[in-house]
Amino acid sequence: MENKLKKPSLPADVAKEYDSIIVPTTVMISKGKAQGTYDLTKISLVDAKKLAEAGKYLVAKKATDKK
Amino acid sequence: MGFESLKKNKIRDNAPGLRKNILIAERDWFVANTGLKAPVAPFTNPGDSLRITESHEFVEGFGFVPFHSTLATAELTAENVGERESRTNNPSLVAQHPGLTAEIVEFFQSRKNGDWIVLQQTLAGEWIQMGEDGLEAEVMFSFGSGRVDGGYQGVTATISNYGKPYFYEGDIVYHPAVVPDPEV
Repeated sequence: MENKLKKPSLPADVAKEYDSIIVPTTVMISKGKAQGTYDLTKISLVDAKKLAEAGKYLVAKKATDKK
Repeated sequence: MGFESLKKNKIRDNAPGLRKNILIAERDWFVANTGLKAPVAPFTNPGDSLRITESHEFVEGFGFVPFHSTLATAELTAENVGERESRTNNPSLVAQHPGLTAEIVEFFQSRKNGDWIVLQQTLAGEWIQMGEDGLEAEVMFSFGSGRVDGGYQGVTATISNYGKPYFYEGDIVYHPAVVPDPEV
């Protein structure tokens, strides 16, 4: 059968700045400053920064890794 | 930990029932040995022995699968089973999912032999977990067409296990959804 599916990914602008440590999906964070529900496939740069700073699921790319 | 008293909580609204989303994940989807979290001693406050405060960790590409239940159909009950001085709990969750289609029946049919960890949320917001390592939950189902003059067309899911209900306070990661590839 022809494969017509692919893994979900971060939005292009977010992917330039951050790597996801999980396959991008919806996450519900229960505690802390980043508390809330986020769809990593549609996340904004502002929310991505919030998650990365909280050490949740996203990590900032090193300057040398950015394309 | 101590129980000097168990007084009435006059602040809690204590509305009955469960919210619509029920989350299930197969035991094998959690990171081996350490991914499925459990309460961690020392248990300082009353209730701590049933609180899971760390976040479950999944193997890459896995997470909790939500399924919708019609509001006011989901109910969690638990009875004592066993014999005097040797009893445990038998939690059981019954919920209805509307519709009788190939996709819906396949969803439940393909899950009937798995070992499941299940989360459901009270109206107050607590996530109650059924299933633990070695005492996972079973997902069973039945379906009905209803009648032309009434009734309910859909699947009734019955999820049961043995052991304690836990109160999950960690993060929830949903199962990633594959998306159509425009390049194929």
